[in-house]
Amino acid sequence: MIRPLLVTLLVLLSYGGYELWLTRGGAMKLTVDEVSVPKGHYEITVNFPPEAFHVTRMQAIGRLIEVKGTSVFLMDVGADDARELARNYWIADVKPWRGL
Amino acid sequence: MAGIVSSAPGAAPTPTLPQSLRSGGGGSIELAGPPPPSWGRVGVGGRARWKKPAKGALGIALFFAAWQVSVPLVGLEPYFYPPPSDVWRAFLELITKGILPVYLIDSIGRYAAGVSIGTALGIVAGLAIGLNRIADRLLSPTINFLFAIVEVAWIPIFVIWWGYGYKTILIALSYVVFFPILYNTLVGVRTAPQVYLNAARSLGASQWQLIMEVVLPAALPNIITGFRVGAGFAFRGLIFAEIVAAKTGIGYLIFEGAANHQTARTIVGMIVMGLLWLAIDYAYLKPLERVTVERWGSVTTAESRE
Amino acid sequence: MSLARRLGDPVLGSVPFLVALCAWLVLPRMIDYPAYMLPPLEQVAARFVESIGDGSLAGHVIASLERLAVGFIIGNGLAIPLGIAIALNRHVSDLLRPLLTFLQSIAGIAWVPLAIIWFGIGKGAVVFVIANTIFFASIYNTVVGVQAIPNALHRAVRSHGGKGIQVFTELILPGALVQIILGLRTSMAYGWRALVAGEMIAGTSGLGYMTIEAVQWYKTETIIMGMIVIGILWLLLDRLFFVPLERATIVRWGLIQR
Repeated sequence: MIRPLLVTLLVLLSYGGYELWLTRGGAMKLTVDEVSVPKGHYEITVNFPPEAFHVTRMQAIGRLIEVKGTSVFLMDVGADDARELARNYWIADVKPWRGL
Repeated sequence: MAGIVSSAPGAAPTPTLPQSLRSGGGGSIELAGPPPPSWGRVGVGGRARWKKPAKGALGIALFFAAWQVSVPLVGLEPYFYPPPSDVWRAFLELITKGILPVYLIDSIGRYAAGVSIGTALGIVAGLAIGLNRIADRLLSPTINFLFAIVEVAWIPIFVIWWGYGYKTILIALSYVVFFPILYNTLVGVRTAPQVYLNAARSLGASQWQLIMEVVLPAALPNIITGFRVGAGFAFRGLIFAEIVAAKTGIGYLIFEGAANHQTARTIVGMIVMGLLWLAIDYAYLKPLERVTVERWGSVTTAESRE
Repeated sequence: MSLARRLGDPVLGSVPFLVALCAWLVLPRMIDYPAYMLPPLEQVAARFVESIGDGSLAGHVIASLERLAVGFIIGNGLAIPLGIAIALNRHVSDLLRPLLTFLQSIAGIAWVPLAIIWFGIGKGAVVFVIANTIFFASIYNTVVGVQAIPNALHRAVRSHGGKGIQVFTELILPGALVQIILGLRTSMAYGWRALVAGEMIAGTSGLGYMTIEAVQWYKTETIIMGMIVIGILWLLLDRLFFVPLERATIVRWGLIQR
């Protein structure tokens, strides 16, 4: 009965470590002062042309203005949502944007 | 009826113990005569123990090699018959784009939650019904009939009641696991030796003590069997539910890949699904099976036919 | 078992059904809820009558059973000979066992989208998925069955001078037969699930298709009717086909005690 418990423990620990790693990455990409406004505009860079999977997630948190190459421009994004989005490891960078 | 015992979704009992004592279908089947030796051990020396896994790995390698080579020979579009190299590339892509981890975590989360809930409910219900003779006879035909309506057939009405999404999938998975466990718990409780019960009662055991210390241990092998069956059904149910009613998950990946003519992604999903099942089997189901055999010897899932 | 006890079970056992039936009749009149959640009993009964009358139910049932039969025959027809062949040679079976185990864990449902790409929506995809499920379930059983024949029996046959086809007909086949027949029943159980699930995703007719198509139109009475028919059909298949099969073969030959 050791193996099931050990595996479960391992899985949970790995998952916890993974989430911590994501949070750290998110904090580096989008620093605290960059997320100053409750509703801001952001330029999001990914490393590849975004697919439906990614665009859907971004559309869920803000108004999608444009997708230019590997950059996505979002407006009216809440601060928490922006931080949550920045945590994804496939996001290369999140920068404040002045909007239209 | 379906006291089907197997640890892989759809497989016969793994032949690591007298497979005569596990049935492929009915439940109340015991093979007459001495059990055959567990295959694979006979005639293989101790020093050659690495040979079997190595041969198995070779078989898998040959499979992929044959597949890769056959692609130019078959000459069909990549979306119809993608080579393993495409599949590998799709795998890497899905990881770097962050799609696969999200889908995997979602699937595992749903599966774990559904199996846990279904198991808990199944054991509780099995004990409650099994300990009460009247309730048992009252409800058994209903249970049998509900079980005959295969779990996949419940998805449409679940969707009507709870729509698409996580809640529906969770309920569906719990349901799928609930029945095999309920069924096998009932069998286990029914076959708990009356002697032990009487002995415990005559020693002044309370109802709670009776349940926890006599009935439950006696029924445990059957419960574990039910768990293994339920886990297998639930895994298949997970993939099916994700194809029909979800927007994330390995099942959804398999479906989405095909819908977008990205067949390589579909195959990635299928392989991940297989590996995931092997992991579940290795980590949870095989040890449980071993515990059952080692502590209680043969498992007879006696089924009382009405 | 006393007569009273034997009679008691069917009587007692039908009580929940009767209670459910009464509740179903009464509920719509007592509580107000949208009809599509749980259509009144009369509506479901009416749907039953309607679909029997215009032959649509029969059409779906026949379509489903037909696919199941074809898939069952193809699946087992390929799996049993192949399984025996694989199991006879230790090297081949060692080579292929892990591969088969892996393929078996994804057999069936996971192949539906691929089957749709290969065969399009419709009968072909569904039959393929059923045959796939049954094939892998059955081959596993067959290999296990053949390999479980005790070495002692192998040696006994050889020491009595048996070789070639005799080994096959007198040792392998009878020895593995129990497991193979049990495998037939198991594979049918999984095949049945694959049928319903496959029809739901990739079918254009049949019980699974009928049931899930009704979701779009919120025709819950069709869904309930479909579920009941699916349940009854499986009970019939299992009890009327396989149990007698086992009784006539395995039990009669004394290989199993019930």
